[in-house]
Amino acid sequence: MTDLAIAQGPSPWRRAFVLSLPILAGYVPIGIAFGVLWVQQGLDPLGAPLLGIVVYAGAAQFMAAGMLAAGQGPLEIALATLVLNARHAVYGLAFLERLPRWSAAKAYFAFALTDETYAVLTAASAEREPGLLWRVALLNQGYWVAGCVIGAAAGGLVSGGTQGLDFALTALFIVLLLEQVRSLRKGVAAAVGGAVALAGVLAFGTANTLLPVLAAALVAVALVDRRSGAW
Amino acid sequence: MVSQSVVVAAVLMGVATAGVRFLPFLLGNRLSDPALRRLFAELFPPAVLAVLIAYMAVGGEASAGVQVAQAAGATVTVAAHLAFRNLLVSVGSGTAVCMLVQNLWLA
Repeated sequence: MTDLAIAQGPSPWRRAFVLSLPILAGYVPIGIAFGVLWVQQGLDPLGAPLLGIVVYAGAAQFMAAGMLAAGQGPLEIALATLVLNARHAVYGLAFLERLPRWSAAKAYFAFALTDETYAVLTAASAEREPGLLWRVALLNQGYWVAGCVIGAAAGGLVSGGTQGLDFALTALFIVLLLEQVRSLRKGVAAAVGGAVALAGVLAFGTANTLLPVLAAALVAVALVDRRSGAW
Repeated sequence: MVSQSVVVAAVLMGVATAGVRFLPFLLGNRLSDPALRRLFAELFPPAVLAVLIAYMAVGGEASAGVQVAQAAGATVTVAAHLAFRNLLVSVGSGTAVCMLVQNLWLA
């Protein structure tokens, strides 16, 4: 590719926007659902975008809405958040080689590395430009906060009929998984992870089990892959 | 005006979440084995997604009817994506089916 072609190629922001489109489809409706739920719990509408900016973690935000409405204290909510989001500690491992040195952009990317951003950027592993990562993360957070704002603004006007809207998050994960599974090796990893998760849920339920089940699933994936002779 | 408890909760939640997200970047230099890094980058993402989907599918306190609605939504999502490979169509159609089942059939 010539220098001219590179210079005339899509800008980093345009490429980031294209990569972030899957997240736009999920984050705006889910953000709206969160904003609506937040207001319908009797909480101040400004709190919805506040959490979207400072916390930026969908499941934890939904959980916090219920806990705050129930009168739980901030410390209990923070501890529950720590347990719920502990799985995020795995995500950064996929980007260590793409972000070898510390910078403001890397720090923001680390802060904004959600389930969905992790899923879409690991599927786009061909994209090696570090500048793309924080741009995608920033756009994604923008979509989320926009959804929270819209939902909080409209929450008081919604009387019902929105049951199932939060399924958009599950649908997004399903689509991202389908995009991830492009080889037999990755398909086996997904199958092993899913099987361990189902076994764990059936045996122990879902309360406080996500982190140990996730750890068990990843160990199982590593063992199966090692046994296949891949490393 | 947002209450003090919400602001404090938001800040503490933000610190907790950012802490776990920063952790691998802070420890990453100690994971120098290329095979390990490939494992993290290539195999863990689909496994993590599968675990999260499994928890969403069978977890929570959803009624049998809601689970049926979610199963219908998941089926439509997969079928739409295999047919059209368009994320907006896939997520939109699956979500619409789930909402229709929950709000019309189960109401």
